[in-house]
Amino acid sequence: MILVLLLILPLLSSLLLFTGKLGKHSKTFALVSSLVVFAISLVAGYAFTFADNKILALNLNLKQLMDVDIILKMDAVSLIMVMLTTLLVPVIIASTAKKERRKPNFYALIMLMQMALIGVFTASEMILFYIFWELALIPIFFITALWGGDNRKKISVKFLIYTVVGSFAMLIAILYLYTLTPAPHSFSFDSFYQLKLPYSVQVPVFLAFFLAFAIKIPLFPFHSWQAETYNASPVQGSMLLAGIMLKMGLYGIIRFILPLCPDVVAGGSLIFLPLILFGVIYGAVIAISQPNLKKLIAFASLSHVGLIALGLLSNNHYGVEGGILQLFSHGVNVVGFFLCYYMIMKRTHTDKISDLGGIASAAPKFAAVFMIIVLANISLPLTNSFVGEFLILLGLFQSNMIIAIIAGLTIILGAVYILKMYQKVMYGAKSVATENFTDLTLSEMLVFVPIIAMIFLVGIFPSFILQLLQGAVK
Amino acid sequence: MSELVTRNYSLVTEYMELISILLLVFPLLGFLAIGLFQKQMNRSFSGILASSVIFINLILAAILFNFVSSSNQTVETQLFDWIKFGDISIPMSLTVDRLSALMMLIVNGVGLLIHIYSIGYMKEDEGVNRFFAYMNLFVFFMLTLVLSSNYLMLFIGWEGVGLSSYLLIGFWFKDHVNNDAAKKAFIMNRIGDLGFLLGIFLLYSTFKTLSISEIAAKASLMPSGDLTLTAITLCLFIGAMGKSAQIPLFTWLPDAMAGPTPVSALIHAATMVTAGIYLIARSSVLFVLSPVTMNIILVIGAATAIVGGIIAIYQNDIKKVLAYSTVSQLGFMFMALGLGSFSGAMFHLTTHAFFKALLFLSAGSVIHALGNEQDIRKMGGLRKKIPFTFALFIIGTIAISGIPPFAGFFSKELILSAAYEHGTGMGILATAISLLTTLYMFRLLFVVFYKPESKEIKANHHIHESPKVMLYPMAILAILSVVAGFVQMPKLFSETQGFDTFLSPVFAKASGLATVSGQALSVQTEWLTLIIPISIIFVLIFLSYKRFVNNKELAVQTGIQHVFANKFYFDEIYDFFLVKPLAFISNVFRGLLDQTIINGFVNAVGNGTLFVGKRLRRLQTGNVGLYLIFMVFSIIAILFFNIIL
Amino acid sequence: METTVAQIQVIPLQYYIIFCSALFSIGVIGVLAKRNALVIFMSVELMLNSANLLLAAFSAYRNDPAGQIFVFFIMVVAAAEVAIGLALLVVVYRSTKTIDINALNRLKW
Repeated sequence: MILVLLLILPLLSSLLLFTGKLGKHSKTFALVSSLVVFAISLVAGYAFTFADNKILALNLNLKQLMDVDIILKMDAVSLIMVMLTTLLVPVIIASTAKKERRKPNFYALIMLMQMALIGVFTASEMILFYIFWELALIPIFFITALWGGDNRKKISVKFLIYTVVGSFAMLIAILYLYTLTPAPHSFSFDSFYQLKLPYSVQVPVFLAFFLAFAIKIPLFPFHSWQAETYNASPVQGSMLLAGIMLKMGLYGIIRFILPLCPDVVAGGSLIFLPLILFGVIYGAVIAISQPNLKKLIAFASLSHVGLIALGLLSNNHYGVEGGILQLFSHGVNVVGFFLCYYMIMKRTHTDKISDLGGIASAAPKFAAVFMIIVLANISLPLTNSFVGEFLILLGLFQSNMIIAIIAGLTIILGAVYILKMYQKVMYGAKSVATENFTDLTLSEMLVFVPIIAMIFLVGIFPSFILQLLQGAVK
Repeated sequence: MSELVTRNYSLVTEYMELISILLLVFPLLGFLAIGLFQKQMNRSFSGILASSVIFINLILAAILFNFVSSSNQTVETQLFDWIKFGDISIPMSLTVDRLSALMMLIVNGVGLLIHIYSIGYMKEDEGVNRFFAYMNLFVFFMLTLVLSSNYLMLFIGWEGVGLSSYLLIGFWFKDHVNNDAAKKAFIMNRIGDLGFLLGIFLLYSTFKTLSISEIAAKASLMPSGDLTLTAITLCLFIGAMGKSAQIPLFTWLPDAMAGPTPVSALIHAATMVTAGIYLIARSSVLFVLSPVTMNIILVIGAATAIVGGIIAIYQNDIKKVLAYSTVSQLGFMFMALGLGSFSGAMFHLTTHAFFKALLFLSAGSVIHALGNEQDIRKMGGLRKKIPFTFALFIIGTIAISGIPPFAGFFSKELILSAAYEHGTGMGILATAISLLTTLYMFRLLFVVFYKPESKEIKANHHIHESPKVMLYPMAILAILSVVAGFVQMPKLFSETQGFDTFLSPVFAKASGLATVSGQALSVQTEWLTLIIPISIIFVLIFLSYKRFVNNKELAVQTGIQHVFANKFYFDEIYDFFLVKPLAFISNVFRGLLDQTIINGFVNAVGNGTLFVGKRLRRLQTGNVGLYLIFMVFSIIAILFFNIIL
Repeated sequence: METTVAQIQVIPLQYYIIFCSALFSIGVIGVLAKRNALVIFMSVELMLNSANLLLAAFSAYRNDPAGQIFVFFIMVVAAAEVAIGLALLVVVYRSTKTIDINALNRLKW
């Protein structure tokens, strides 16, 4: 029941916002309703820890009406993803500046997005999953196309088409698998999991799913939409994209590729892991010379999510669990990073790194906050991403030592681009753009609170998430 | 009765556990308090608060030290489970044994003195609150490093001190030179950290645990020269190379002098840079079992000691001289480790912490007196202007040069005798290396304090002795530099080997496993190894007095000296082979590969579709007759093909 | 009914086929060659009816009533089509004063 509530509430809130009746109060309403959703997800988490089989499920049989069942299930992975979504959406909504005066539709789209994302993470039936998967595209498309920057229309169309191409490959795979299920055919995940596919079938299924997820995540070389879209999108859109939506692809790997194509994952590590690995290094290397702050975040993110994908596909349970933990951490960190970007952008109206400088002396509070987030991004111990990356690399190390060593280079490269960026943006003498930089206001500080809290909470007590995963990964 | 004893006993242990936790809690609280209330806090209060935090810590450390040295047991404290699921369990837990107790005393003791010194040194600085916050943060991480009972928690401290070092080197962040130095330090450390991390992975894969004591127990059952152990120890050594500034990762340390001088004294001389030595001493069992690694450590340590020493002779920045001296001394400690003399390395680490901190603080006092002048060519004749500083500096110089009865003599002696036991050639090499110290230190002393006053000094009328708050800590360090050596006299003079005995429980397992033990030296040789170096030292002092005091200008550098002065062009080589290519690759990836090829391909697909569409739409003429003709002929064609095929 | 079938079968099947093909071809050529929309419609009717005739003939020869049912369906569809088509034509004529299809070429690229 609670799962339905998680879906319906954002939807209702979104519909109400679409009517435009709320006018000035739209932001407050959206914020409150997203906080309510967060509270509900906390309740769900609480219920989950006491559920006997560690699964919250809802099964509506609608065979009489149409040929689909509505099956929602929440296991540990879903729970983590839903928590990530419900945690970040209030932050994203709260981050919009008063001055920018977003229309009610903007918040309505964000709430719709939240509903679709929660749907993706809880659906346990292929058609339902696919519908939510595609539904999540629509709000982000409009957010980018309507509120974005230069070239927003062209770029958002490119993004839409690119991802739909991937989804299409996935749809074919889903339909094919459907025909393989024993009669009467079923789209439910469970019936898919029971298929013991022969290797020859796993390969094409893997390729189709992998294409879809590789575009979504994105993995090298399917990433070219990413930096452009982040750059063109309003910052809230980038946060939704980088923080949550890209995790759909990684979630898909956990949900489909790992259970459906275990032999490919086990045997083919020399075929696709080097490709992803190259992407990990590639993103980090590009970030070093990237002159645009927002694109730098995009390429850093490319490198990080590549590492998560490596962990998930490492065929080692440490890698998988580290990957799941890192999904959560990266979502938090990248949103924090974008928030910092937004604070700078709001005040200086430039995102060229070379135009900035000297912010640290003008805004010590912001400097401290930014430093913490930056350190979390280079996975310093005691921040959230350290544990995840440690487990990922440990898993990789146990399955393939050479890949782990090369992937470990990101530890160095990450420090290179992050510190270079931080130095140029925050240190040195003030520039024209940063002449009148003001420190964070109280309300801006409040937006950062959940981010920083999560950075340290997960960094110091990762066990509460890791314990959830116990048994979930096999 | 016995029950009462046990309970009493366990109560004491519990207190000790509590104290070991408090050791971490206080600096952290100090950091948070000063850091969060930077703006509100009174400028003079932050220094006092930070110092008193460390003072309390020092008392706690002393209690713990007393406990472990008297009872010969280790205090194990479980804090909480950090990473725990399935079969992996990495707790946050602390171990206090004699080794960590010693380090704890050094960190808190030297730390306290430097904190107090900083109150005077940083008085005028606007960011003084931030400074003390970072200093407390450093102590917190350093203690985490020292106290941790497993390798991953040690890694927390390891990276944490790197972070504090980064923050403190770049403390004056308005100047990008400082920021570059800070960045360089962090990145070079990270290279080492990657090695360390890989070592941790190997350790975990091999032993299924990261607990230091369990690993030592399991490893001691493995055969000497085991390949995995060699790999593990090499990885750990790479980590140590980064942190302790060994070739090839040493170039960050001289640059790190960009930070405030107390930072150089605490972090880049006394404590953090010795973490690599601590790590290897901690893992002594592993290292003893991998002779290959030991030899590599020996070679690298010796090479670093020589290179660092030579470069130090040709530097003209007072702090740079001391920095290269640190590099060289660290190399010397690594030599000791490579020779299997773990307690020798630790002993030299201890005495070095005292006299190197003293030297840095004296240098700071000189810099302070001259109004931020660091170039020794612009100094001279300072012995009359700042007599206290001069006296303290001279104590430090004598101590580091290894002149008896100062501390450096005893610790060097321990290492030298280990070297002679290893072989005469090795012994002579080690002696030569230790003589290098005399060269650069007395050059520095003479140029700064004895040489006729330079014109800058003559023009400067504001030269003043430092305030007492700076001089007293220096004085205490000076006393320590004099007396610290007596805990471990050379075998010739004393039967009791204080330091060796103290640490022997820690290294017992390692020394039991050591395969090669050299033959003991005869009494005559030992006397020779004592007397010859000391006499050479005095000859060298005399020579450098002649050379540096009477010459007005420092000689112009020629030929090979250029190479030395430019630190063997290490930075240039890295720049050419690593930094530039990386920037180049980055630009190629970004411009050519990403924008042109990959994005170009994606866009080409889209544009291709558009292009074909543009052409094909010409078929849509709007002429219905034409459409009908197409239709009919298409139908005919379909029928035709259906029948034929 | 039998008599009709018998009467149809008097003429050999080939004759029907040839006749219908000819009729159909005339329709096709009419559609292709003529520019007057009304004539095109008539040609289309011619094609439809040739098909009808052939269906009826086959139905008689094979004793299968389905063919004749189809004929009725086609007649209904044709009627509907003509109704809509003529209505369109009237609208087109009103706005362009012509029913020449070559004049209706504005719906292009």
